[in-house]
Order: sequence, then structure tokens, then C-alpha cells
Amino acid sequence: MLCEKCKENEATVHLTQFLDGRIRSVHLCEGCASAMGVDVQGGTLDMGRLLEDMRRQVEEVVGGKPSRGEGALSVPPMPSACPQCGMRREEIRRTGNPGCPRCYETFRAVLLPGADELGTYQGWRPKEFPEGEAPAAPDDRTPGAGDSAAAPERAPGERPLAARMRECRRSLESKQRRLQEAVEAERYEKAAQLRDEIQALKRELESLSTGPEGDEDA
Amino acid sequence: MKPRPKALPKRRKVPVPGTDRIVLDSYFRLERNLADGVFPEQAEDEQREEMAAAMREAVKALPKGMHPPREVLREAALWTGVREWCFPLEEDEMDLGAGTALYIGRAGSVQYAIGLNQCANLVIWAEQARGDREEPALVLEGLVRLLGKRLEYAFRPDAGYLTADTSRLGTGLAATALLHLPGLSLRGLVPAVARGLEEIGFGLRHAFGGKDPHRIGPPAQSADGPASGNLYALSNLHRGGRYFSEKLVFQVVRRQAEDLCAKELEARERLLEDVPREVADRTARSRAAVQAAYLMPFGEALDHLSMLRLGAETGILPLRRPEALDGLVAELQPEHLKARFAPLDVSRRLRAARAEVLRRALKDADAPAEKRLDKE
Repeated sequence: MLCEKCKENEATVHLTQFLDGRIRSVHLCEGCASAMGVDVQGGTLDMGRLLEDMRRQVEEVVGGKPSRGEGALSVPPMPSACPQCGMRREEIRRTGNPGCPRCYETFRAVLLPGADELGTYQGWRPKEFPEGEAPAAPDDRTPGAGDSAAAPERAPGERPLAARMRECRRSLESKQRRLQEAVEAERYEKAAQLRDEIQALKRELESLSTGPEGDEDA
Repeated sequence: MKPRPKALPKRRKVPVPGTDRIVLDSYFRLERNLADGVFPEQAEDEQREEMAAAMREAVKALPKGMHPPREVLREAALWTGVREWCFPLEEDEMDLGAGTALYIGRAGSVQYAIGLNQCANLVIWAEQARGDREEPALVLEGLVRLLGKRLEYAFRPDAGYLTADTSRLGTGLAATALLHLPGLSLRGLVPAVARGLEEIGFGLRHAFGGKDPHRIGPPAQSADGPASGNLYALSNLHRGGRYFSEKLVFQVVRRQAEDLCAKELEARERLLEDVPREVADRTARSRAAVQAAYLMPFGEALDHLSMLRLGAETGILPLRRPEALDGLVAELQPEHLKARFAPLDVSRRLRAARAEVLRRALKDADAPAEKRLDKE
């Protein structure tokens, strides 16, 4: 396992804290742990500051503030209330129960944690969701989606380069949404992974938009 | 002089009861919510009325083959309509207030009910007594698909059908079999069997009250005490959808029910080998009680019925009309008695009515024939 901070060295310092009924874990190399004030010899630790530092790093990306010179990302924050039924986010966090089906979309990170890791639905499907078809919003979890080597589906008359850029933007929006959900759910490992994927997509978009003119006619 | 014990009754050879004598009832419940609706608990009256109007249109459009359902407008009419149900609709799920509706119908031997804005926007119950257990599943599937042609259900491919309670996400389906397990119960094997079933995703609970804190079904009337009757409900604990479909839920519940039937028959054989006198005694006492009692609480009635059924099915207690026992589990329930013998506003009259029903149904139960089975 690599250090969650530098992502270069092997993590040898594993910190676990049980607080307010939740377990929080951080995995660091010795250098990063020492830099963050962890006494790897004596075991003293300011877990709160440690987690706050890591959260700030991820939120710098989420909130649009520059991080390590990368471009800012804009991700809409989770609404405080459901636009359909008005159920407040705090109420849902407290009770765990939604007020309407729209709440599952609005507060997906809270109501459906870990849904990404589960398989596809096996039961009866309503007519709006036939077997084998995804919902209206494109999803980069489908095989080949976001893969730069895969040929994106083109609208009639659309150029390959434009199709690829459209695909990248679609994938970028989806990953930004999932990043926000991961941060809200405090799944920082997943958030860090998504952050890296977002940065790679932005680099690809930048290179596609500034490439030689001849490429667009290929 | 050494007293001579009363002779055991001669056991008459009877066919081994099939699974339909052990699995008394099949019961299915499925819930759906509307995609653009609000869950009933959170909805205002106007919202409930609006959703109910849309669902009423879908119900009215059901084909004649499903027998146009009758809308229940008064609670008394409900119990008259579902008198044959072993599992009456649970009180905490029932609401006949503003923006709600309840329809009762029949499709062949399957009885069904459609509830609008009860605990979910749409709840469908289907029940069948001792029939082919695939039929209520087919009726349930047919109803939900036919209604789905006019209604848009709240669904997400990453979660299944959406519910107000996140623990019910998935197929929204609960499949239950009502089993009579006197052999396993009298041998004290039910807790171990229940633990094994729970590990593989099934719940085995007392069907009516009992000491099990996880009982299902309507609570026993407080004046009548806890009810048991060796009746158990086997149901799926997980709503599925992610790893298994509704069809698989039906199949595995049926398979587990058949497996339990085999265990029950084996337990009965051992019981009759180990303690035949005790079984005969309890059977005879139950026969005497139901034929003579003036007052009969619900729990006690179920216990006596269980012994009579065991006696009839093992040949200890012949009954001229064993089919007289069928349907009594439903008929003796408090709400069904109230619907039949109104008014029954006090517990004493309820128990008196129950005793009368039992006396009439079992007046032809023969006394066990006294022939020696063994020499002492």
C-alpha cells in the first residue's frame, strides 16, 4: 500500500482512530508521518489535524482552489434539502430514511454508500430501464468508457477528435460528481483516486484542444 | 397390584402427509413507489390524493381476467373480504384515510389485495392456501407488470426499486410460507433449525405471537394470551435484486419449505417412536377440550388444532372429515370472528364465538380406539 499523501513510498505508519462511532484510518510513509507531526517512535499523534490536512488537500481540488499548480475544478456541493420533497440532508443523515425517490439521487452518497462496488440489478426491471441499458446519465463505469484507446461513439457527421473531447468532458463530469460524493461520504482513498483520474482527463482534454489543426480532420 | 396404564390407541395406517399438509399457506408481499411521487409518510393529503388518483386509473384498467377488484371503504368490509386469509393484512400497514385505497380481488385460487399509499405508494399482497405455490407468485408478477404499464415505478439500476426504508431496497419482495411443524417444535429442534436458516438468508418465526420476539403476523389479542399452534412463517430476509431475482426468491423459499417438510416428517417419526403415549395423550386432551369448551382463547385454539392435525395425519386420532381442520386457522382469528359474528366487542364473546366454531367443526372427531400397542 502506497502512502496516501505522497503516493510514492510504501506506507509503513498505519493510524486508526475510533471517534463518534466511526473508524477513521490513515496510511502514511515515515517521511510524511513525521512531516505531519506524527512521532513514529513515541506514538504521539494529532489525528484530528492529520485528517484535517488530508481533507483540505482533497477539498482544494473539489472546491476549485488550485492544488500543486493544477487547474481548478468546479463541482456542485450537495444540496441541503431535496428539491422534490424538501427533506433536509441532516434529517436523512440522522434517520437514514429518505422522503421521496428523488432523495436517492440528491443524497446518493449518504443513502447508497458503496453502490458503485455492487453488481448489476438481477430482478424485474420497469419498462423505463430495459435489461442491459444504463439510465439516462452516461456512466464511466461501463467497460471501455473513459478509455483513451477506445473509439467513442460519434454522432452523424461528427469528427473523431470532437467525439473524443465530448467523451472526455462527459467522463469528467461523472468523475467530478463521484468525487464530491466520495468526499461527502468521507471515502478519502476513493476521492484521491478520482482526483488523479480527473487530473489525467484534464490533461488529455488540454492536449486535444491545443493539438495540431491537422488532427481534427483525421 | 400394579396399575395398568391406559392402552395406547392403535395407530391406523394413513398416507404420509404431503407438503401441502405441512405448508398451509403461501403469502407474498411486494411494494413499489412512484418515480415522481413522495413516500406516503412524508406526503401531504393533497399529494396522496393526486398519487392515488393516478394509481386508481391503473387499477381500473386491470383486465377482467384478474377479476375487477373491489374497493374497500370501511374496515369491517376489509375483514369480510379477506376472511379466508391466514395472514390478515397487518394493522400497522393499513390506512383507510385520505389519499389511500385498498382493493381486494381474486385470480383463480389466489386472493390478492392492492393497497395505495399504505406503507408504500403501491403494495400488493397475494395469498393462497395449500395450493400450487407458483400461482400466487405468478399473480403477483402479473399484477405488478400490468400496473407498471400505466405507472412509472421509482427505480435505480444501482439500488433496485426505491423504498422509504432503505433496508427494503431491491426487489421489494417478501415471500412467506406458513408451515405446521409440531414434530420439530415438540422435539425442541426449531431454534437450531432457525439459526441455520438465518445464516443462509431465511427467517423462521412464530407465525402468531409466541415467545419469539421476532414474531410476524398480527399480534395476539392481549386477553387471549400468546399464540403458537406450532405454526411458523418461513420468509426471505433479504429483498435481493443485486445478486438474485424475484424468480429466484420464489424458488429458494419454496425449496427451503420443502426441505423443512422433510425434516418435519422425520421429526414426527422420531416423536412417535420415542414418546407415543405423550403424543396420544395430548391429542386426546385437545379433542376433548375443543368438543367441550365454552370459551377458547386464540392461542389455545391454535395449540389444540395443532395436536388434532398431528393426530389425524399420524393415524392416532381418526377424523371422519380431516378437511374440517382446513381453514380454521383463518376462521378463528379475532378479526375474522368479528366480521362473522358481529358485534363482538369484548374478549369473552370473542372466545365464546371461537369455542362455538370449534365445536361445530370438530363434533365428528372420533375418540381414539383403545387397543393395545404394547404389553406392560
